[in-house]
Amino acid sequence: MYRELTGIFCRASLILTVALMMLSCREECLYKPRSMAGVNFHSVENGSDRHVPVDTLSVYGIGREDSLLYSRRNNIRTISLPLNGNAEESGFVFTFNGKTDTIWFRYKVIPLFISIECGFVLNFDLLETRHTANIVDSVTIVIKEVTSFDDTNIRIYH
Amino acid sequence: MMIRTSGYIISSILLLLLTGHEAVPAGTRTAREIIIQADILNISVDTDHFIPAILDTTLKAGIRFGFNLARPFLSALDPSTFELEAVADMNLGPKYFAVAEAGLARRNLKEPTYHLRENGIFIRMGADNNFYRQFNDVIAVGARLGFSLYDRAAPSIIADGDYWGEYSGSLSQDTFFKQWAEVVFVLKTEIFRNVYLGWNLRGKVLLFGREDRHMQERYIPGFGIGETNSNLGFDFYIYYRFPVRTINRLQNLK
Repeated sequence: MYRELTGIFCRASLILTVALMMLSCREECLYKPRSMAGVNFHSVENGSDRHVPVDTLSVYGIGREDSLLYSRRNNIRTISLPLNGNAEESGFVFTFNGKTDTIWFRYKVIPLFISIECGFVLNFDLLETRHTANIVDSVTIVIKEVTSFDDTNIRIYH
Repeated sequence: MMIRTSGYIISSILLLLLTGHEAVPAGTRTAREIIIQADILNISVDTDHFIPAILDTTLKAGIRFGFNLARPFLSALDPSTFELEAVADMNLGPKYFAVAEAGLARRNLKEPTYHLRENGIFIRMGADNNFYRQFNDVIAVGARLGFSLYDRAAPSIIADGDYWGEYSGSLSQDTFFKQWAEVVFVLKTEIFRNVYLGWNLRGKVLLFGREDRHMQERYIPGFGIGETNSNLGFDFYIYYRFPVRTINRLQNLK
């Protein structure tokens, strides 16, 4: 004959163990998020700020001329740019309808530990931008934290 | 993670073995049972004289020291973590206990793509309200305030870089102080004279503390691992009570 509380103790321990078995099962890293800077193209027409598409856009990173991120894409409103984690600045060459501009983004790299299975990914804090001005009128940082959320971080006015 | 699951299974088996003895001789009745039966049979019982004469209606009060059994098991099974915890409680009366819990925790993750080190100490303070009035066992709900001081460093980090190539870097050591509140369900059963086994089930909510922008999944000593500001905890303990005095709790039975 068990004492009452001893019985409760044993039964509850078993129930909790089963519950913990279910809770503590972990899976492999199935999805590792990537942080990209979201860029929208804007234009000011008749005094109003409009989110407008651009025609025939090509983009590559300076130092990666052999690898186009976007190749002659038509009617595109939004793009995502990967920032270089091994540098404090990334430059990108934009070709709009045959005319070229270069935009540089300066940032701080923020390594982020996701989980034991997935390890670290890179986030960024945008600090400032600079650009040439053939087509691009101005570049604005909207949200400085570049994370895996699909935020619009930058507006390019043209 | 299977390592952790195995720790809980082994802990439970050990507890079942340890608690599977006849703690009280068959036929022994509690004071409460006698009062209830007398009431059913409509027999008047002079509880002031009759029950104290045949039953131990006193509560042995004292300081109870305990050790968390689950943590060393988990540490043995998962060499990346090392955790120790000692606890103490003391009667403040027949129902209430003052509780203090303290420990240390270390996690050292060496994976192919990163090396992450975390070290810290924690203390929790609070009280339990015991609503179980038989023997010297405890079924209680309690509240705690927890504090943790820990540091974190990542000597090496490698991250994917599809376009620009692989990232290689590190995080220097940084120190954090966190505070949280807990609601605790407590169960302690006396398996031998003054020796107890018990477990706690805890719900925890972070209150204050500087956020670590580098850690989505945080490891906070005493609070646990997780991404959110709340957490659950479950631990097995073994205790030894040093009896100091007795409290007559017959008044609570009437």
